[in-house]
Amino acid sequence: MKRLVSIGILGTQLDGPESRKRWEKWRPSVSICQQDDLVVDRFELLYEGKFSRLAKTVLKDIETVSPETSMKLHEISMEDPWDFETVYGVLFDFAKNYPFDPENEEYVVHITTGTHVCQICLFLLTESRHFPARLIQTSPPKRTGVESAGDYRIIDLDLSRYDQLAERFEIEKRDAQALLKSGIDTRNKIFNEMIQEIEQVAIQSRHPILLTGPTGAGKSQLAKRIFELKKSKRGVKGSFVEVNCATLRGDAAMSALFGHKKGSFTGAMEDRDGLLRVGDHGVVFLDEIGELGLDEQAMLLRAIEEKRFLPLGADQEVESDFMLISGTNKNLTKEVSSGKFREDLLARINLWSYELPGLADRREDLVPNIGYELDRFAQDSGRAVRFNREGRDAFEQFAVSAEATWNGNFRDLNASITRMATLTGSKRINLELVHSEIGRLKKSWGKDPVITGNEGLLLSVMGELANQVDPFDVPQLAEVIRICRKSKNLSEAGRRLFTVSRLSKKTNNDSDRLRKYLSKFGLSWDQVVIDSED
Amino acid sequence: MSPITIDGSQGEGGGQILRSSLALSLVTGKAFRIENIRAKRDKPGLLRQHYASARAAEQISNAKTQGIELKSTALEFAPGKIEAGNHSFVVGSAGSTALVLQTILPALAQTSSESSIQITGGTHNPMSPPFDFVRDTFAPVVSHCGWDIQATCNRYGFYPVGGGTVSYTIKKTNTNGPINLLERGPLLFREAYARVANIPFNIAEREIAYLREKLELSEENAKARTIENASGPGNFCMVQLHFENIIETFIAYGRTGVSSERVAEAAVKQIKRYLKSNAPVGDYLADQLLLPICLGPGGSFRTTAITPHFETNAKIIKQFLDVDISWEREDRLSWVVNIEN
Repeated sequence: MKRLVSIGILGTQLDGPESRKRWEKWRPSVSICQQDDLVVDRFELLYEGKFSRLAKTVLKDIETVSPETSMKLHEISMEDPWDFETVYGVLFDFAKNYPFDPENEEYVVHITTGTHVCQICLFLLTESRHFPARLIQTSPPKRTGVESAGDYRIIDLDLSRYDQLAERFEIEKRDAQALLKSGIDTRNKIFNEMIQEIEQVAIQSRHPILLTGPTGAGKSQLAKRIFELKKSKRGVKGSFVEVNCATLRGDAAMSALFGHKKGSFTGAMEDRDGLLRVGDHGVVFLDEIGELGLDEQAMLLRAIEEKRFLPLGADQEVESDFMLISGTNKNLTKEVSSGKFREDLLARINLWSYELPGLADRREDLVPNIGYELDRFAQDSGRAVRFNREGRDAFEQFAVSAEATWNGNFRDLNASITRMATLTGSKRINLELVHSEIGRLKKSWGKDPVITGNEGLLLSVMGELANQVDPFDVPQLAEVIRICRKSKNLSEAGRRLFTVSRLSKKTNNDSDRLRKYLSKFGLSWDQVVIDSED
Repeated sequence: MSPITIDGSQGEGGGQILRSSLALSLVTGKAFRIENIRAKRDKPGLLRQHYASARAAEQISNAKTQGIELKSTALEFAPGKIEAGNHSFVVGSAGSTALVLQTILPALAQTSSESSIQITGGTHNPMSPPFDFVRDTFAPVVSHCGWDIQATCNRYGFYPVGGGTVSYTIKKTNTNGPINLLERGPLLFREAYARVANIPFNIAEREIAYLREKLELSEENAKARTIENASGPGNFCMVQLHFENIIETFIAYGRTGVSSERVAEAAVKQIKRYLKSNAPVGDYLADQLLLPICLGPGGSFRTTAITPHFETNAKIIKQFLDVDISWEREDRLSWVVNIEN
């Protein structure tokens, strides 16, 4: 059995007094050694020099009540036992220098004595495993005047039931991530990892974030979520301001961003606060930042660096402390080299840079996003619409297939769901609606995408059914189709395909075997060869 | 030979079953396994007190054991050869030294070479025999069973502090035939003591005053004293009745919030009850006499009560020894116990 070692700080109040009356009082350090179901083999008592007499009394008394226990006194020096830094340092050093021997000994750290600061530091150092120990808490007898050692409780922070505490923390973190993902249970690994990092950055940093990615990948959506997360964590006080820089041109651009004084240009009838000013203490999202003119870029740089800028026609700068999120679908580095974007500005805004993958690269997230879009439609229109089973199966199957290129990313998905939900007379989107929507989508993405190789061949023969063929079967089926197309009829194809095994058969049933094979995939001879006659 | 199996939850289901089993195993050399140790207690399993007894038994017999750990509810014990000689044991948390003694005494007292043992722990605990009882009441009777016990209390150890030390020299002597303890014989004299340690002396004085008045004792037979070398606070008052054939000990312990008179009154009540009967052997002594008589010459005695402790003890003895223990009630406070071996 391992030796039990208790480590604790002398309680200058609780472990006193030194007088004869001390036995009539519950004293936590002594009480650990008075328990009838706990034997402490060694007791390490930390005390401050000025309390050495009390420490010696406690030592003597523990030796009396528990002859099995050997005592060790450690003088420590905490000038101010209420000062976190000192106490943590002293206890940290003690733990660091203590010859822990976990092979042969187990440790409990007593947290009932010492100042609250001592107790907290002991807890922290135990939780961080600087003390490879469990915690022990002692409590006085329930009835006063009863001579008893009181109670004790050992707390193992490693035990699973304390995981609940850790779990609550985890849940909070997950909630934050769910918020960033608009509550969509996304499955794409790269996207989820990115969200995880953005969560931390959003909570802890006020530095600029740059979101890149194709149009419709959800940049502005994410920017808004980051703002909401910051707001829920009290990271921002102000509001969310969103501007698409592509819509800003000339004076209007300057004025919109930085504001103007009345009469500073034609049409400036009133004083106007710029959007950067409106975003004071909040978040400003500049989408399509690559479209911003060079003058505006210079002003923006100053606004970010100095947190101040000069509105048009004003002779005094205004202040604004905003957090900047920028979005772009352009390659800004390229823009820099072609002189269209300021290098120093890029360096400023891309401290945290994230590339949002397009929808086509996040196929595993399509299904949860379909659900999300339906919910959003219901919220916007007040009409709850669902797919019926066939409709849902068909649409999901198409959405994740190679056929669906989702050129417009989430914008396409949103539009597609909105169309189907609007067109359905009932509350269910049926197969018919889905088929016509698939046609509409394909058309909007231009001509059918060219898919070559085995997949392309199967797609051309089988249509959507091609997606139901296991990758295992794809090369074989494609080869079979090719041979069929080179053959005049079923029997010839059969002969070519079963050219070896047919020799050992008594009767020739090649055509039958081929027909059965094709029908396994729902195909007939005519369907297979129809394309080659084109 | 497969070990004897003992159910620790039978009878009062306390620590006595474990101690008796250990004592019997040591004496007989028979291995045993006990389950459900102290099943009927609030904190089941081995507490420090029982742990110390089991370790002591292990120590004097080089036993092979399994499960001797705090809070363990089952253990196996296979004793080796008994080592008479010098041994010392400690019990923490003011655990009773008398109960440790009880566990190892029979084995050492059945050995002709002398043993010297020292035990540190509680000497005067409520719920277990006080040192004075062992020395003055128990030892003289079992000397007739061939057990020679010399007892010294070097330092008092009161509950809950403990830290007392007692020493015993133990050896086997001859017996003069079966025990026959049916009568008390004439009352020779009575003595009363009150002791205090680390609390005001007048507590003892008031107890003595009460005892003198109620029992009509002379000044020289009733004395209060302060114990100087006890570790913690403590108080008890004790009365011993010296009959020709037996000395009975009655003790009551002071507690916080209980007046000295109430404490002394508790001792007086025990005496009154004892005196209502003619039986020489009191409640507590009866179950402790069983084993010495079974191992020794056999015989019979008259007692004031058959307690659950007694019955459980008798049952366990019969699991280890081929003896016949029978008892018969004569009166409300009078039973005769017969032991044939």
